[in-house]
Amino acid sequence: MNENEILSLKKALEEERVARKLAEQKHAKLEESLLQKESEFKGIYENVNDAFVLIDLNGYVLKMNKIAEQMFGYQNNGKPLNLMEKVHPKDYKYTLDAFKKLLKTGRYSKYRSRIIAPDETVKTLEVNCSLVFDKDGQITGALGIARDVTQEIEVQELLEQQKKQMDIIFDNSPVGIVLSKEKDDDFLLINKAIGDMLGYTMEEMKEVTVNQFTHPDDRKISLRFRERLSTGKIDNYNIEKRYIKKSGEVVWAKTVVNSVKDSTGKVKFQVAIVEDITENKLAKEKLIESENRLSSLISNLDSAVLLENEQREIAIVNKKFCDIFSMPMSPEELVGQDCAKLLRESIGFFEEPERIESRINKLIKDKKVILGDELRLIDGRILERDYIPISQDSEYKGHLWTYRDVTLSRNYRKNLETQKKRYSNIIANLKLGLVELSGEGKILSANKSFVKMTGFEEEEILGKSLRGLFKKERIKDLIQQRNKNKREGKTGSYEFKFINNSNEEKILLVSAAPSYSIKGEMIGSIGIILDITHIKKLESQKEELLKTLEMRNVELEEYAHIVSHDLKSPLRSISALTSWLKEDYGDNIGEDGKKNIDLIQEVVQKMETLINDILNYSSIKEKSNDLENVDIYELISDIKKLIFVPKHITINIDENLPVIKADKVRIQQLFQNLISNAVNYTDKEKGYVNVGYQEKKKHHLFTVEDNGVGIAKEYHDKIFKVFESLGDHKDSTGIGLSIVKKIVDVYEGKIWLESEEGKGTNFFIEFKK
Amino acid sequence: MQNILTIMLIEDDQIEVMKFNRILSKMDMNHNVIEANNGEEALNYLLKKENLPSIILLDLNMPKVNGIEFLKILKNDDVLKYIPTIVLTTSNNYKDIFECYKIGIAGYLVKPLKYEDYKNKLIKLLSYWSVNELITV
Repeated sequence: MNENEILSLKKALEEERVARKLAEQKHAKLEESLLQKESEFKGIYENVNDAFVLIDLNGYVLKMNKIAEQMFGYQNNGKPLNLMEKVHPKDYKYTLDAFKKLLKTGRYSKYRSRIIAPDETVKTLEVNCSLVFDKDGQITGALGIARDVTQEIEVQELLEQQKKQMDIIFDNSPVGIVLSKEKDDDFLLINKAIGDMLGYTMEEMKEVTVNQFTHPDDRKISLRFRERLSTGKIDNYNIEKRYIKKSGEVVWAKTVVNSVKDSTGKVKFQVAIVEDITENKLAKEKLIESENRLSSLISNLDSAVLLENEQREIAIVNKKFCDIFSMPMSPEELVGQDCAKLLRESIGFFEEPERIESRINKLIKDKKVILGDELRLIDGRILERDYIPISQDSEYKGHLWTYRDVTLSRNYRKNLETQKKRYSNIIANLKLGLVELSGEGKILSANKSFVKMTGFEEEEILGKSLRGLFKKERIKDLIQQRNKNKREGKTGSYEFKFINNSNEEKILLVSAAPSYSIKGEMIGSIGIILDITHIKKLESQKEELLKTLEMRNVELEEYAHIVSHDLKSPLRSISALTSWLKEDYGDNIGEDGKKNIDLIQEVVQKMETLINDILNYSSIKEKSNDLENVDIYELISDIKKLIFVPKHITINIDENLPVIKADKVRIQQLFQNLISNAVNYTDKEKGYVNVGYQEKKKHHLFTVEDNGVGIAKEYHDKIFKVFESLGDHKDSTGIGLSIVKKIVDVYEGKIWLESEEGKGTNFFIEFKK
Repeated sequence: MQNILTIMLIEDDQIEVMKFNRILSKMDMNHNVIEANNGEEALNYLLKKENLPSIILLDLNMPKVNGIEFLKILKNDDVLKYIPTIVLTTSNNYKDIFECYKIGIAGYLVKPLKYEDYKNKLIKLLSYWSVNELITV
């Protein structure tokens, strides 16, 4: 029932009341005059609209007018009519009581009773009656004016029923209803719902004003509407506003206010219907919020998103989409565009455009979810596309495309694969054996080299325990073991000799390191195995060779000594024998004979020097390791005493001669030879040999200077060669300077000379510090 | 007063033996000489432990048991090790000298080439040992 209907009901109610009042007044007047002038009624009663009945004390009708006859269904058949017979059985007692009361009080008004009408229907009569007296004042009967109020009661009942219904609606309405007078704060009616909505009791509601429970933020607009309605400028308004509950909470409400005007157009009532829409409002806000979230999500998505509706128009598109396809429009501008058209325009971007187009058409036709379609653009980019059809209540509503630029990851993957391939090739063909073990020591993978080392076939060893490949009884020699730390995650290595499955002896150098998962957990180990059989063989060969060489060297030296001894022995014998010749037969062989014997002995002497020099020269080997500190000054001083120095020659030794690290025997030999040479080849009256020294940054520079015969320039290199003797000195073998050169070479030094024939020679010897 | 020595000369070169005997005879000393042509022969004699020499003059370069080997065997013998052994050799090889002194010798004489020089040296040597107090083992 809407408010208009309610209003009209109200109106009807009001009218009825007025009418009823008028009717009652009319009755009273009539009764009065009836009582006063009974006789006058006689003429009148025939003509009134109400039933007029005069009955005796027993209920028999004495007189009735036409209307009464009709009402009671009287047939003029001579039979007296008793009204009690007509009374509805249920009202019989009540009627009897009323009659008794009448007898007592003399009159009775608004007695209502039901009768059974002639047509068998029940009619309700309203009866005003009074007693009728005769002249003597004796009660003769009763006069009743009855009116059929059946209809009236029905209307009334209907009205009441309708009011009740309205009250039910009004009270149980989930929406708040407020009826107020021309001023909206004067509430005529308020229902429970509004009280509940605002948290006030009905009594409290009467005390508050609209402004009081309107949210401060909405007061202004609310007031404007209210004023306009109150002043009749508008007939109704519709507003969504907030109310403040008694508890202070905020209620969102949709309020519809209608004005009811009187005939002059003045506002008589205001009816406000208030609907609590807080939940809706919140839900709506949430919806908006989630929509915003979703749209910001889509627009910021790293994938391009395109939502088409069933007409293939763009519904949603994001920035990424525009970026990927270099759209000259913003996402907002794209909305509503025809996708098919756009595709035709941009099909040139794709490789194999025909295939792309037919694929799209097929996808749209099939309406099945397809994920991860690969698209190649002519600029080299690779996209991955998903197609997701969207349906609502199993009705196709469009579809969603998402695109991802996977160029980088695709290429990365490709690169990775290439790299992996390359490394696996390297690993497979590596000379180094590689084996990957599980935590339990089972072989997970192994490369060719490793397999070859074991002497098994690859299939035979995969998944097997490593221990089984290197059985204890086959391991001949565990050279070095540093495996203890492996469990603690450290690298260990060891070397061992074993007999492999093909019965080959192998020496392997194994390095094992733990392998880790991406999470950093130790999951096994990786062994790197180097087949060092060959190296080991070479090594032992080398060792053997060195040993042999060393032995040879010793032998050679021995040999040199033995040879020199053997060579010298005959010389000694010659020397002894010639001496004896001279001793025993000197007188017989004469002076010439003795001279010849002396010559033989001289030659023998020279021969011995030569043998000694060769022995010396050949025994200069590589640099000796046991170097000692040699005081060169002391050394030269010793040489000075050791060699024969004629009186006319002086040897001057620089006092600054250093102490150097050297092999004393060799250094002595070097200086001795140089000084001897200098002494031997001095032709001057006053000869000298100066041994000097200069300290250089990285070198020691020694000089041996003489004022002897000197050496011609062309011989400066030659003199260092074996058996190249320039002079004719009796002791000269031509080996002395060769020995010097050899010693200098062994010590990585340098020797050179400055000389002028006839003036002298200066030898320079340089050694590294 | 000079002692008469019993000298064992271990020398394979017959001319060297002749040289030694000639010098000895010229010295007018009645030293006794036990000649051995090589180390083996010398050992055979010495190990009998009869009429042991006062000193031993030893050549290093010898066939069979060479000087150094002989020396080692000698010095390992509880009795023979007390006999002063002087090396007579042509080798002035430092290694040999060092090795000999390491094993234990009483002298190292490098034989000069010249007979006269050799004679001088040998006379000095024998004179030295003949004035030395020696033990009889």
